[in-house]
Amino acid sequence: MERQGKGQDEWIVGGHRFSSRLLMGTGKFQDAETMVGAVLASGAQIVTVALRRIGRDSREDDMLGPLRQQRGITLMPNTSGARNASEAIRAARLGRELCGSPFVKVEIHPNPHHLMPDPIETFEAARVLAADGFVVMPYMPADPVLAKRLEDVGCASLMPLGSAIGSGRGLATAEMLRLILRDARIPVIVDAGLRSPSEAAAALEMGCDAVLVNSAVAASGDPVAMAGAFARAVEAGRDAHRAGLMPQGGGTALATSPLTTFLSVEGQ
Amino acid sequence: MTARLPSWLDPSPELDGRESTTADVERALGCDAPGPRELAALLSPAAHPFMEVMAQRARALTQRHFGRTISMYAPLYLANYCTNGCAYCGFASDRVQPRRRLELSEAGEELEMLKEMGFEEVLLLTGERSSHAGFDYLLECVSLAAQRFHAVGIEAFPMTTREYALLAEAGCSGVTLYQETYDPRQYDRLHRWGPKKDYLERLDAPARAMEAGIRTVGLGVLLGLSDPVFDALCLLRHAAHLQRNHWKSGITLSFPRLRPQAGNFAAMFPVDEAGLARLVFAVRIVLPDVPLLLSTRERPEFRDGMAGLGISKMSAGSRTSVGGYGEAEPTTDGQFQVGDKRSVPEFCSMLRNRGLEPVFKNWDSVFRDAEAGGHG
Amino acid sequence: MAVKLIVNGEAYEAKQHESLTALLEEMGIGGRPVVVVLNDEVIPTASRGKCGLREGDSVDLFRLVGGG
Repeated sequence: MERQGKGQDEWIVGGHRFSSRLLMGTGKFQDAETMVGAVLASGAQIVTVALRRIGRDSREDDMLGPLRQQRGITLMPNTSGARNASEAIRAARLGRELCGSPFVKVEIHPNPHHLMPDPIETFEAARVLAADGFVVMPYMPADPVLAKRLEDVGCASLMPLGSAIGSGRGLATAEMLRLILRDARIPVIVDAGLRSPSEAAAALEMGCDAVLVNSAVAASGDPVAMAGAFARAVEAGRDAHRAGLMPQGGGTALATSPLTTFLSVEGQ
Repeated sequence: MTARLPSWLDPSPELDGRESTTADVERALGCDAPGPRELAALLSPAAHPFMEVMAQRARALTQRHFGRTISMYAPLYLANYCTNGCAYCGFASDRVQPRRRLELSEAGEELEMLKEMGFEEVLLLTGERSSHAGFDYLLECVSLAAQRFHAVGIEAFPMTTREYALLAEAGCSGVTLYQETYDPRQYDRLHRWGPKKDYLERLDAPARAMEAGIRTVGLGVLLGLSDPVFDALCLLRHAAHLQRNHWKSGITLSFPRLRPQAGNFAAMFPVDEAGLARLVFAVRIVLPDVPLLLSTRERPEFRDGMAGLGISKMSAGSRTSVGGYGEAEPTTDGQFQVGDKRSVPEFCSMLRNRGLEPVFKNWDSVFRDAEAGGHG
Repeated sequence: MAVKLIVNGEAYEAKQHESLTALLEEMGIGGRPVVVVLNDEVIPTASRGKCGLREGDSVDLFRLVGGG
C-alpha cells in the first residue's frame, strides 16, 4: 500500500475510511458485558459478528445491542459456520439484511478441527458477493497467488491468516505475508493466530494495514485490559513502520575476497 | 508537448527530499521490503563506500534466486528502417546509411545460424513501425522464429493490445520496450520527431502487452540521457506498477549505457562503469527476483566481472547490424558498437571458469497451450 | 384458528398468522433485530406487515451473535 501523508494515517477499505487499525471479533467471550467492554477498550471500528437462528428461548440476551448503538462501529457479519460458497453467500445476504451494511467477512472452513479456510469455496463466494455489491473481506490462507485472484474478482481487502485460528502461533506466515504485501492493491489485514500484542505490532511493522484479533482477547486473563494493550500495540507498530526500523545486524560485513576490483581499471 | 509524469510513476511521494546519509544506506541494506526510498539511498553518494558490500549482497541474492547460472539469448536485427528522429540512435531517420530488411528466407537463414550457435532464445528487433517493416512483417517473423526457438522476444515499437495478443498467439513470449528516459522534458527533447515522440503511448505499451497475455515484458532506461537516479527510481515504480496489476506476467530490467555509434551523440549525464555497476547492485538488492540483463555493449572485462553480480541474463556473439550472423561483412551500420566481440564458445568458457553455467533453454515450447498467451 | 408452521426447524402452531409482524409479536420478539426468511426467501422488514402465513410455511429467524 502507498504511504500516506504524515498527518493522516487513515486507511480505506471498500471506499470507507477508518482510523483504527485494530479489528475485533466478538466470539468466545464469557458474557456480553465483557465483550462490549473489550470492544470499546480496543477502539475497533470494524467488529465481526456471526449469524444464528434464534433459539427456543425467545428472551435470549441481545449480546450486541450496546455495540449496535455505538457510533463509529461498523458491524461486519462473518459467514463462519458456512462449509461452502453457497452457504456463505446465503449467510452474507442475511447478514446484510440485519446489519444494513455491505461489509461481509467471508469465512469458510469445512474442517472443524484446524479451521483452515477453503481457498476454492472462498474464491467462489467472494466472486459472487463482490458482484452483488458487498464489501468483501475474505479470510484466506496466506497465499500470494490466491491474494491476486481475490483482488481480481473484486474483494475490498485481504485477510490472510497469521496462523491457525486459536493456535496462538503468531505470524507463522510472515514470509508469505511479505510477498502478499509487496504486490497488493487493496488493504491486507492479518487475521487469526495472533496471541500477543507484540505480534500485532510486528504485523503492522511489517507493513500490514490492520489486524483482527478475537481469541487473544477473549481468552486472556483480563479481556478488557488486553484489548487496550492490543490497541496500543497496533498504534506502536504502525508508527514504527512509518518511522523506518533501524537496520538488522550483519548487513554490512564483508564475507569474501573483493568482487569489484575489475572496476578499478579506468573503464570508459 | 511535454507529457506529465503519471502519479503511479512519480517516485517523489515515496521520498523525503533530503540527501541520503550513511545511516540511510545501512537501513536500506537491512530492509526487508525495500522500495524507492531504499533505492535512492543505495544510489546516493553516501553509498559509494559500500560498493563492495553491495556487490557481495548482489551476488548472494542472484545466486539465491537464479542459481549459479546465466540465461543466454541472441539479438537479431530484422530491419533498420526507421521514421523516428531519436538524437541518440544510430538508426535515426536523418542518419544516412544503407537501410534494409531481411526477407523471410534470409531471416530463416539467420535464425538457423543462431540455432547452430546454440541459442534457444532470440530477440527480434526493428526500428519504428514502417511500411517496410510493420506489424504484419514482424508477426510473420515471430511465427517463423517460434517454430525453431523456445523463447521468442521482440523489441520494436508500441502496439495495441490486439496486436500483442496476435503476437502472443503466434508464439511471442516476450516484449521489450525501453522508455529510454522517464524524464518527460528530456524525453521530448531527445525524440525530435516521429511516433516515438509520444511519451505516454510508449509508457503504457508494456501494460497492454501483459494484458494481451505476453509472458514477459522487458523494461529499461538508456543511461546517459537523464539523471540516472531519477530514471532508476521511475523504472522501479514502473516495474512495481506492472507487477501489482498484472500478476501473471513477469518483467526483466536492462540498463544499456550510451556508447559511441555513427553520429557521435554525447551523453548529457554520462554514467561510468562504476555507476552502472552500482545501479545493477542496487536494483538487485531492491528487486531480488527480477532478471537483470547486460548486453554486448560493454567491454569483456566488465561483463566478466558483472556476470552473476546481479546480472542474470546476457547475450553473446551479437551482431547489431541487420542480420549479420551469416555474412562475413555487415551490410548495414550497427545500432551500437559492440564492446564484447567474443564468440559464444569463448564467452561460455569464461562463464564456466567463473563458476557459472550458461543456460540456453529455460522452458520448452512444446508445453505451450494451443491458444498461447491466453489471459486465463 | 392456529396454523401449523415450521419455525427454525421445529413445529410451531401460530395463532397470529395474518402477517409476519403478528407472528413475531406472538413469539415475543416483536421489536428485536432479526432477519426473517420465509420459505427460503428473505423478507425485508418493510414487507413483514403485509406478508401472511399459510399452513406448512417454513420460517427461519436469524439474529446477530458474537463471533470471530
